[in-house]
Amino acid sequence: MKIKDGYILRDIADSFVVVPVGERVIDFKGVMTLTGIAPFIWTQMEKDTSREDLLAKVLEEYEVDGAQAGQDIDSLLAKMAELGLLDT
Amino acid sequence: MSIQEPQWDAQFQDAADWEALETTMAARAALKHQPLGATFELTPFCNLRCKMCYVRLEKEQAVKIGRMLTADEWISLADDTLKAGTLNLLLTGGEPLSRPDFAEIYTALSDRPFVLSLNTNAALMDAETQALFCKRPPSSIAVTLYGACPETYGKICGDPGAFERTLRGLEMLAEVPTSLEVRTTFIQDNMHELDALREIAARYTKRFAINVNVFKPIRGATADVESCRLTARQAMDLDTAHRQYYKARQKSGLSPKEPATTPKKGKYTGFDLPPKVLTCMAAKGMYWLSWDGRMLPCGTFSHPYTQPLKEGFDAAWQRLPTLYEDLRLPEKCEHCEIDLLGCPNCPANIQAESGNFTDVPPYICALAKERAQRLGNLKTGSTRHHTE
Ligand code: SF4
Ligand code: SF4
Repeated sequence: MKIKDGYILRDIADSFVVVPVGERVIDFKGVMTLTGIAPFIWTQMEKDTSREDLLAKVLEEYEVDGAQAGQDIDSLLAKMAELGLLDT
Repeated sequence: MSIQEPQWDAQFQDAADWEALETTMAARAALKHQPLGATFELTPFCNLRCKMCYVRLEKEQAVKIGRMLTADEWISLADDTLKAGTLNLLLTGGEPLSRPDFAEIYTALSDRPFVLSLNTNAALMDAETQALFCKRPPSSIAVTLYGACPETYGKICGDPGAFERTLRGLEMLAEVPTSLEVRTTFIQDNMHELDALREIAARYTKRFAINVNVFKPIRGATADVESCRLTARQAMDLDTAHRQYYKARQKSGLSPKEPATTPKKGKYTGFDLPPKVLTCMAAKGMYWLSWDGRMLPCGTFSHPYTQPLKEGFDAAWQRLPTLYEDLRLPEKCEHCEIDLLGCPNCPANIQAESGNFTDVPPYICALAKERAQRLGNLKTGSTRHHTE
């Protein structure tokens, strides 16, 4: 799974902001902000990846226990799916 | 990309919270002097000839002032602004759609991660432009509507036929998946049409904003606004009528929101940032690029300015506030009690009215005094209402 084309993550004034471009503005109006680990996960998901890969990358990058990280990844993935951001 | 302190809250905030976020981002951008908001004034030319226009030029006037930037120059400036951190980008003019290469510029900008907005008079809308906007919509479009009938368009814009063309344009834009707003600037010739204009706007959108303050033209434009703008009293009457209409609707549950109004000075007055004399985001977190490539704090200023194409975008942005650092309001304003109640005495407006930063402009004074007086009246009025 990966993030659909046409969403660009920007780092502006200390915020991570996702901006839809071109035709994507029809699907998503406005912008999204990502905080905490979300920008890291987003960046990983710009290429095709799996939940297992994501979890491994997060555990490599952050000091956190696996259960907590897995929960956070799941809730982010659910939110992304709900907003229609994922190519599965 | 930099990942900050690993925090362990995986948050995801979507468009619903954007308004609140925008304010905090704006504040942070200003504090760090980042150029978050831009306006590209793509052209000084227009298909209409509104008698109160602050900016429109004839071809002969424009050639004496400067050279219009090419599509490539706008696109390359857009890339510079992206690198520098610009997110919100407003396209305006003149009439942006009057550029033959508008579609080329627009398409390139819409492929870049900006939050795009557009100002237009809608009278040049055609099927091709509608298809372009439907395919890649801007976040918002503001349409100026100058009159409620062909006669008024004739008087104000010099073209009675523009009324029907504007309505057709509005019909087309209403089909674009964007946030549409209709805006009217009032002068003597259309001040009797507030209700009719509101009704027309309501056919296409819930957002209708009015502007009752018209200042003198800038940067070489020559409209004779003094012969047609509202007196301070007329301006306040219209503004009050507009507000009361929405208040009444709100009371009866018909209108959930306050009317859209033109931005008021002081929205971001928390910042004591240089240049202090500007009480908004201008030169702190936002800027204006004129049709001939000058960078200004906002479009109401004529000078001083920097030149991003000559000195580089970053240098131009860094230098901009320094040009306004020592600027002060006219002496009389600095000791004026009315100023505390709100006076549109921004240096940009003063420069437009007086041609300099030092002379107190009588029109601005009159607007401020009228408003201060009404604020007093309003209080008495509402007390009476409640005790009845
Ligand atoms: S009312 Fe006149 S003198 Fe007072 S602040 Fe406004 S422009 Fe200046
Ligand atoms: S006119 Fe003055 S207050 Fe208004 S946007 Fe421009 S600089 Fe700011």
